[in-house]
Amino acid sequence: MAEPRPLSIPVILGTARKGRMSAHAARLVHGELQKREGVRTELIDVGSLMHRLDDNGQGTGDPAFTATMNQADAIVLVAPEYNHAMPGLLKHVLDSCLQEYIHKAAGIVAVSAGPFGGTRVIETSLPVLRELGLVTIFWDVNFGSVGKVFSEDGELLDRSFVRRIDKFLGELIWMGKALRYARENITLQ
Amino acid sequence: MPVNPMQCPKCGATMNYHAEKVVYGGAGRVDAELGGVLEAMHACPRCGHVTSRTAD
Repeated sequence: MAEPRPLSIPVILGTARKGRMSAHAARLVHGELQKREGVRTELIDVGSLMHRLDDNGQGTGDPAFTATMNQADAIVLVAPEYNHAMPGLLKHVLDSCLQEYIHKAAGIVAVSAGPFGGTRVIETSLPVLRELGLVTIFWDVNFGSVGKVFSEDGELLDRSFVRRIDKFLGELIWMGKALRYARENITLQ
Repeated sequence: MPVNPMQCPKCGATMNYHAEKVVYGGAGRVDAELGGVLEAMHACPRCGHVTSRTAD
């Protein structure tokens, strides 16, 4: 019997700002995901993508990003909270695909300089992800007061996040597997 | 469901028709009752490729 395809779960770093603490969070989650058996992952930096700004929807997409989303079974969004919402650049990037997302799992890692752990970016992102056809999971990772969670050079100062990420990834992988089976085997009636 | 299942453009396997979504302002035949283009979503059980076409 052929080996099953590894589950594809890219991690999207959702900000291009200088000094972004979200990069530390994204690298940590990506590293934990790399330890999972049967999972293939990559870290996508929205700041390095070639997205058009003078078109809308699928006309804007970076072909490499679109290809990665096509093969993805689940995605991790690492989203800082900018005025209660995801960065505009991340929204623009997400809007470049549609069919690639349908019936795929999505988990949010929220990052905030303040004490609320990015809860508002999670709440305001849910209707966006739903409209894109993604299926959100009920586990999140909340990096509140992120300046205290990582050192300036990215060292994790609070080890409790490793266990939180483990739980988050467990649920995401379960949902990714379930939706892959459904997507590929259960026909719409 | 579509009369003719799609063949995967990547590997040739028969794809599974797993979802529909109305796309407003999309290219294709507008469904007058739904108010937009009804896209049928297909996934390949062999290679995982996904694609869509206007629903039949």
